[in-house]
Amino acid sequence: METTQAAPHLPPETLVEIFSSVGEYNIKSLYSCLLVNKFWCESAALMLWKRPFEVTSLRASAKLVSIYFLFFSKETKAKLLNVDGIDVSHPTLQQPKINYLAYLRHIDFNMVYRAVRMWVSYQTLNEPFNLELKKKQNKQSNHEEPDYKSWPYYSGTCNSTYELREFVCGGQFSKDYILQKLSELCNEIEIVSIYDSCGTSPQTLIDFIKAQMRLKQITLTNWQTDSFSTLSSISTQVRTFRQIEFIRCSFPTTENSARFFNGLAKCSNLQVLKFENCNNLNATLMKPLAKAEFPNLKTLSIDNDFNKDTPSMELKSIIENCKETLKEIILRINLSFYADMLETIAKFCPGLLKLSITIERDTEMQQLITLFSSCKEMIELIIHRRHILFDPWFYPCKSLVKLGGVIPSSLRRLELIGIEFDHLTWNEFLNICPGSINYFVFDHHNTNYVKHVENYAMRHNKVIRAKGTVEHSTGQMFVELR
Amino acid sequence: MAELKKVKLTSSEGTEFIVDRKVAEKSVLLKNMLEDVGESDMAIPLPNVTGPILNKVIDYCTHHRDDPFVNQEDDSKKVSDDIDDWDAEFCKVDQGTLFELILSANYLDIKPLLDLTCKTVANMIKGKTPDEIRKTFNIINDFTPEEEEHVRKENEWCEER
Repeated sequence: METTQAAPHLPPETLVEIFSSVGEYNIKSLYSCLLVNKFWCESAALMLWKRPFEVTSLRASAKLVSIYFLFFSKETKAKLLNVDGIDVSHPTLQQPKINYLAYLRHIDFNMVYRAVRMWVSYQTLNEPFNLELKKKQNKQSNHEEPDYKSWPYYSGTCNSTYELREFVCGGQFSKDYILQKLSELCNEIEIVSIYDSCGTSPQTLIDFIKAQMRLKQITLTNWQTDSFSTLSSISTQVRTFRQIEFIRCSFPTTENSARFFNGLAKCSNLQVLKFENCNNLNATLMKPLAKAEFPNLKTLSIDNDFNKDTPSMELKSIIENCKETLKEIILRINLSFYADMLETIAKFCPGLLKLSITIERDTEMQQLITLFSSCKEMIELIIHRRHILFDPWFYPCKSLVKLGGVIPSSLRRLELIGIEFDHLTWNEFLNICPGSINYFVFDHHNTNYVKHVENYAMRHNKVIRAKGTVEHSTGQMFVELR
Repeated sequence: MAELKKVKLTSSEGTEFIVDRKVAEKSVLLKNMLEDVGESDMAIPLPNVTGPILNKVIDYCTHHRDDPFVNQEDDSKKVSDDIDDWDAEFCKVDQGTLFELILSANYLDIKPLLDLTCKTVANMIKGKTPDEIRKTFNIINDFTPEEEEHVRKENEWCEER
């Protein structure tokens, strides 16, 4: 499209900057910008088509899909019509004005699929008496036609998706076809999140990973594999990986499991490593990581219960090998299995900024208190308490007051979840702790507790900015100051 | 005391401005230049910035001289309408000046100033129809009616939300 400059003239990159301030999800305003003139149109399209399937409404997504279909090749359209009896042609448009698909950067495949389903149901609305069409749709919605899910990657979109940067895909179906197609079409994906393996071949995942030149971040959720090859061969990507997350994954228990993380261990530029509720994560599996060096690791997050073969030494080795680079540690584990874990953190991470831990016993609280003799730069502290049956922790929790006395004045956020104390203890704690905290979370809704925070705010020349129940919590209260 | 070192800057018309090095270093462009050049009394020419605009930019950098450096990749604050009082007052200028400020912030690489000025323009756009936007910024519509209709249809999915 030919463009003419508008008054006042701003270069395209500045317009994009302005449009990103309008907000990716404020599509109504961006749509207005798109129609201002040709020059604005280009920059606004760049924003709107970054992640269109995520920003559009469910109802409008059918319209989006019909535009998506404009990019299908003639052959694909003909095949869909003649073989599958599906007419994807647009009622009025033939050729797209702008190559919108070249602007696609993020695709959440579930959203694409949802949009295609919406489009399908609109077809029925348009032709309520077309029984053939209905039959076909019923068949498809019963997943008897798995090919339906691979629609967006039919040839024809081929030249347009190569600049994709982020890909999210989940659902109860095998991802082999999609991953294979993506491996052919895009090699510059930076962020990938795949959930539910559902029989997807580990080899397909490896091939997909290997095809990517800039893969920085991968999240695997509900991924089950007995094949040890899944992660032992990612070594080709060792330099690009920055963040690896495993959520509810089941790791192999075979004899090869000791080599499973060999590839991961070589990712020397890794900045974030996270395990959450994974099965079979044990000392044997984590051995390669204990020997690994992650000189750039900033965040280590382990939220896992271990049944046997607890990787106590391995975890400590990872922390030790990071040589003070770790800034954030999340340990939702049973600390009683990890003697001197907090001591290790204190010794090797004096510059730690964020700590989130689960504690059970008062002895662990004492260890935490000791930790602050070396970690003096902490900004955020989150303490979860796991309740055990025969509670040796005396109520009220006097250790809390002691903790208040050692908290560094760098602390901005403090969350005490599942920890019981009376309001006088709370008052005593607030009296002794530094005045730097701007965000409190605690379990007690009683007005006395909030009153003490109000007094704390007043003493330190702050005001309450917001308070209420923490969203998605088990009823914790938050108070924000400024 | 390194902090009190002065830096000379020249605007496009040749007007000379003397500022604290710390203030000048709010601009990543100048910061890198000063690091490369080292100690020097030579004035740094800024041919893309006029005197009045440079004056405004210096005002901004002086007011924010002690702010912590923001991460370039951190976009979390971008969409926020949260503009503090001083900044809001600073942006109460005519449109020409506002756009000049955006261009200078871009050229001098002063991310917080670029964010602030872009947010200000974004707030002028939000909730407006294409016609209202054209009127606000005095823009001529160069689409033919057919072209406009075509683009409108291709992006109809933006209408409902």
